[in-house]
Amino acid sequence: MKEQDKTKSLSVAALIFVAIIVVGLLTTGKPDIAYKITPQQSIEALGKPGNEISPLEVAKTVKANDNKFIIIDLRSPYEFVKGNIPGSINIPANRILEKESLDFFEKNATSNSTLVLYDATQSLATGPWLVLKQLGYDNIKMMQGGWKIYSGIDSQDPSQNPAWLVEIPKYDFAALSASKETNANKGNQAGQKEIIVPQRKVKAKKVEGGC
Amino acid sequence: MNKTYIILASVLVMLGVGLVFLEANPNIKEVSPEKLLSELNENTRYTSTDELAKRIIEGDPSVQLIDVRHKAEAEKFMLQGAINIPLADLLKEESLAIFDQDGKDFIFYSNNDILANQAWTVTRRLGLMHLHVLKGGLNCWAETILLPKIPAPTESQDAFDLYQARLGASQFFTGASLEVKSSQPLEKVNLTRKAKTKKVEGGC
Repeated sequence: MKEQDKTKSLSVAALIFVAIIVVGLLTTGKPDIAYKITPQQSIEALGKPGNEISPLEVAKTVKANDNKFIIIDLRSPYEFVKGNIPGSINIPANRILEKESLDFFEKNATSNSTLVLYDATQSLATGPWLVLKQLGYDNIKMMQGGWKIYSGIDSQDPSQNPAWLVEIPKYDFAALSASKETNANKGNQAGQKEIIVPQRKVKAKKVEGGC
Repeated sequence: MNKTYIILASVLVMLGVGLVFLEANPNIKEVSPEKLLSELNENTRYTSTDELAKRIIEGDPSVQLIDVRHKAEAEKFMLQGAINIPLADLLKEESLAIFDQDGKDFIFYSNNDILANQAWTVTRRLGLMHLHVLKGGLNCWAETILLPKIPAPTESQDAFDLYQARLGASQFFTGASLEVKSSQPLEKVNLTRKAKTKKVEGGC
């Protein structure tokens, strides 16, 4: 009799154990949102042309009523309402990974359409744009200049360097920083010091305190 | 009863074997897209040119500047103490070794902050910490530190204090001597205004 009872309780315990494991396996699925390209692939994508689009080109297609682009405004709804690119859709930057937004990107992921993302400035748009790019959406561009430039696009002087090409050095930094007297900047200019990569011993196991 | 034992035992063994073959997450440190986006939107990664100037002048040893522009641009000029790692080379082994240093703040910069932000995003995804971006980049550095603008007479006291600080920094970084035109002293009009509660943020 004792033998049978022991077996019964063991069986029950084991079954519960199995059930817990199965439930655990079923509920920890793969995360919903996953990167589709590796960091190295992201770097390579960043080096390719076509990631950005000028506000001038966007303005042209808007004026011509050409629906070439699906324009997405990443700003808050409050700012969107105050003024936005005609025909643009408002998806605030902090909501681009919500299910609704992802469904939208998924739906428009065909290679025919091009999504243009913009924010108040290109700085603000570049992060969300790169996150989406790493999720595998490669038909997206970010607009240079942002709303700040677009809103005044008609008054842009074409003879000057476009105000939206911001990653161009606007000054001769070396000349401005040229050491004239004693307490000047003795920093790196031409003639690099060799980069000393600190070689560190690989830290072994962290020392646990105690006896 | 033996049969039950055997069945149970084999089920458990099979489960155990199954667990072994479950894909282990290869990159436990990797930051999820949601977390990355949330950090991007918080904008906590930014350092202003004024803050950076102060730290360089004070000789803060924890600053590690990383210039992510092309080699040709970096050869023309780099900020004091900066290392050039072009964005394209950012994930090479020798580049990533830079981040092994303890107690450092890694501040990416470029001509503006678009490139620096991209560098930040890619390295942050790997789970690296203490990563920052110089807001406005070198163009902003030139406009605030190298060539500070005199505030209009109607601006607040804070603006003047900031200008004084920038003048000092400008001297440090250019070695220019301060020309005081005695005929035109800085006129500060004392207006009675409500004191500004927010500290003036340096920036472009």
